[in-house]
Amino acid sequence: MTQLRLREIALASACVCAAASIALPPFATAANKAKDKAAGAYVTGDFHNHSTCSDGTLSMKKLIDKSVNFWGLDWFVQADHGGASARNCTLAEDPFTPVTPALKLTNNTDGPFPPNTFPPGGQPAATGKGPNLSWQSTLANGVSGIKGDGTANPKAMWRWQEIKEYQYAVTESESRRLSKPIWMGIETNAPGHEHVSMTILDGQLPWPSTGSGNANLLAQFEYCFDRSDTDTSRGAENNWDCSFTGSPTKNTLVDATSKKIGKAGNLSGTNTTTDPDLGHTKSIEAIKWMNQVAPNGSYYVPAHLERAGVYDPTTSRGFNIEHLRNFHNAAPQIAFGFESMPGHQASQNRGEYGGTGFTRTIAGGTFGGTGYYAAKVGGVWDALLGEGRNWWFFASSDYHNRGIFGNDQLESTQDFHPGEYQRTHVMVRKGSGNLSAQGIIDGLRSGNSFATSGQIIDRLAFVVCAVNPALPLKANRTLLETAVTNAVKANTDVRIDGCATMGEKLVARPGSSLIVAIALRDPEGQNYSPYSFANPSLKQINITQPLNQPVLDHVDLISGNVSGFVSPTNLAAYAGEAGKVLTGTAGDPAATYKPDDPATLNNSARKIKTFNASSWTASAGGIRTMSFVIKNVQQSQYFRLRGTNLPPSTPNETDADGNPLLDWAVIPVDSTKPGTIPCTDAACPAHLRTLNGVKYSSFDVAAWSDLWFYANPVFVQVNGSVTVAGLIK
Amino acid sequence: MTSAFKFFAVVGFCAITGLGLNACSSSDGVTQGDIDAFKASYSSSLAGLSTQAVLTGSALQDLFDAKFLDSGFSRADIVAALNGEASAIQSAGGYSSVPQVTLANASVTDCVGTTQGDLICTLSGTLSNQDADVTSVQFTTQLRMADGKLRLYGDQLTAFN
Repeated sequence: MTQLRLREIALASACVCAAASIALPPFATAANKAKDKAAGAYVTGDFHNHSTCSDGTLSMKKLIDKSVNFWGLDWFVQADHGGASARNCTLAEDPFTPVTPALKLTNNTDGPFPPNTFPPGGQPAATGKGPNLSWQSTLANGVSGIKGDGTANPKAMWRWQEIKEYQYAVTESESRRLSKPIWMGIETNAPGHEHVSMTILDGQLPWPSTGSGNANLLAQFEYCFDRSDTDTSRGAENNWDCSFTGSPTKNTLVDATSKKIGKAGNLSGTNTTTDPDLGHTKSIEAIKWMNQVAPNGSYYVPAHLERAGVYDPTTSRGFNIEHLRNFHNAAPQIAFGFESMPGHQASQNRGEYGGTGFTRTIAGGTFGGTGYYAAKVGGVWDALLGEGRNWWFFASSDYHNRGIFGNDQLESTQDFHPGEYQRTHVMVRKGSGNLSAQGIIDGLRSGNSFATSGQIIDRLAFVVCAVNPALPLKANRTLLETAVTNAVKANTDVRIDGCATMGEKLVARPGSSLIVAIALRDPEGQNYSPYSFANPSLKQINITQPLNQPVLDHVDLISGNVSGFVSPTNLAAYAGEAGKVLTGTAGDPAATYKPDDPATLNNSARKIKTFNASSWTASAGGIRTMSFVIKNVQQSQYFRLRGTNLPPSTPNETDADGNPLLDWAVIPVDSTKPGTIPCTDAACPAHLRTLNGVKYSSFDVAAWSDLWFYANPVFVQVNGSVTVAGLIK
Repeated sequence: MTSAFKFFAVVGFCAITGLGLNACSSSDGVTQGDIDAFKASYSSSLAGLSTQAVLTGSALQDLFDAKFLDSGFSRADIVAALNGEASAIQSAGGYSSVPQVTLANASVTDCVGTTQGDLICTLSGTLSNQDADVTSVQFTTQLRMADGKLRLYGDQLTAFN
């Protein structure tokens, strides 16, 4: 991209943002008075997953049942890709009998995988029913019931129609049946980029709401802004017009026929050689449209954003930091984070990062299951936090299938079910009321959340507090450690004036001292791993730990300075690439990478403390409590956490500082290359990568071996230092 | 993290509780009146810590002994912090930026004379924050009797992490 074009886009974003009336969002603001905060609880959910209405393998009903009923998620957003689909995901498998997942669910331990019939009679049934049947063959009025201008045979139904007329009804029904907030979202194919998890809640009425709702706005979004939706019918009788009052200049890009940004030869309105950066422009417009029609009920969270490599203005690929800044500038209330812990964690190339499918993945792959943007201390995430942006970290399953295994089996060579391996834990303040979808979205927006893999922890209380100078320091610490411990026991957060938690900022005077207080729960007993043999990663360093009984090894406290908002006009500080593949294939040991551009870095970010068994206090029920004092603060800053089951210097897993190493190296693409971590236990499953008779940790075993959690930051704004604004000014 | 009071060579021992003198006489240097005065002053100061009058007032600042040292904080550090907090409250329209507590069940015990000529006692009590959820903890710290008054002495340690 030329510097001039990038500058145009950045300036355009800035100008429109300045002109728009932006209400201060309820985040990255000074922690509210404790008495004004309603009591809340951390609840778990997933907002990115797939049914047969896109490229998944389950009906909506079975996907929801597994996620919410079996794996016990508290909330769920069913979010297929945008575009079109020929399959009718609203038909349940027949017989639909919830099947308890287990190992080796086949009538033959040698295969075939997936089993031909399980349970007997098949899922789905061989004839007449099931989510793999087409809309065309199952609608009462056949093909004439499929709207829009699709021409395939069988005719695919545009996602907007699927959502509006069929899928929403399933989520509303299931939500009421299961008494949990379940609603519709989309993994939108973002113009100019890869994928984004989004929703518009407005109109939907999941439990505990009553009455009959709709997902009309969500459907309109899909028509208007998904690059895989090339329908020009304006949504048939919906007669949609995607132009809107908030963007008079961009409305000139709206096609006269389709009434959405696009044109002949580029109906998607995405990046092409003829229309460089058009797609990114359209994605910005999508965010602004959401902000206009549903500012409170929407989110726009880039998914697996490192996977497709750095941004290319002539095609739809990745996200550079300037694009995340542009998204955030457009509507910080809506674009407030990323899924840098992707799904597909059991895939041969973990997260589906790197390899033959994605040869340009940023930095080669995932690091402890997390993408480079968040895994690198001082990288993109820290660069955004270093501006004082409310930019949060999330995880999701991105469930499609289990690879060579069936959906009811517990082995996987591809994905984990929603809730089985990764969870986003979010604070929902509901007082004495019911859990609500709006409360969950407010919680996601607030940043009071953390993400986990493999249930390495299941509760967390994390605060930064000012020291009360009239008390001995030990008394301060004891008080706050007790408060966080009590909060973890109650699965809630700390509400004390003079303290801020995740997503909040503490306003402190210069020269004051702070205490970081943390309590978490490393659950006792077993996690959801189906394997009980010794963790092969830990076996390398003579630690015997059953794969289904992980133990938290340490917690890192990471801090960085907040140096203020970066202006879009300062291109060198605003835009740049990180982890760009220069030669070779992403993840291959021979690949080379470009040094990260300065705009993608926050060099002040560093690990300031590691807590482990020698420095935390262990108490009953797996609770670990710890605190850290920072004296004489002068600079606005933030604090965030990560933790893992793997000690520093675990070969092939972590470096001497405890940073996760590239996962890709564990599972090399080229079968002529050696394996990395042997799995020598007799119980190591047959599906692991095997070379010369030796099994190597791979697929789901590699994922269960290497567990992490990431907590969102607590900001500290020191009076007289940089304001933690969270907004462009 | 554990903290330990700095070791003192014992010269004399006098056990005093909040309930009254016990096997001591006024010649040992700490009276019930001294104890009551300290407890009342410290409790009221903590309760009023969100006000400028208390933060900058001599009553609270004089509760810190000249030899106060606690996890690296000296008396000068404390006074500066109290004055700084007062300014911050003024700027914030009265909104305190530090966690507030109340003190209950305070007792002064185990007064011990040191070779340095100091008389060091142990203050114990219950601190509570009730902003929303109630958090209560037991705490102890050291006091020094000097110039006819009990004052906060701290743990006499420099380390804080």
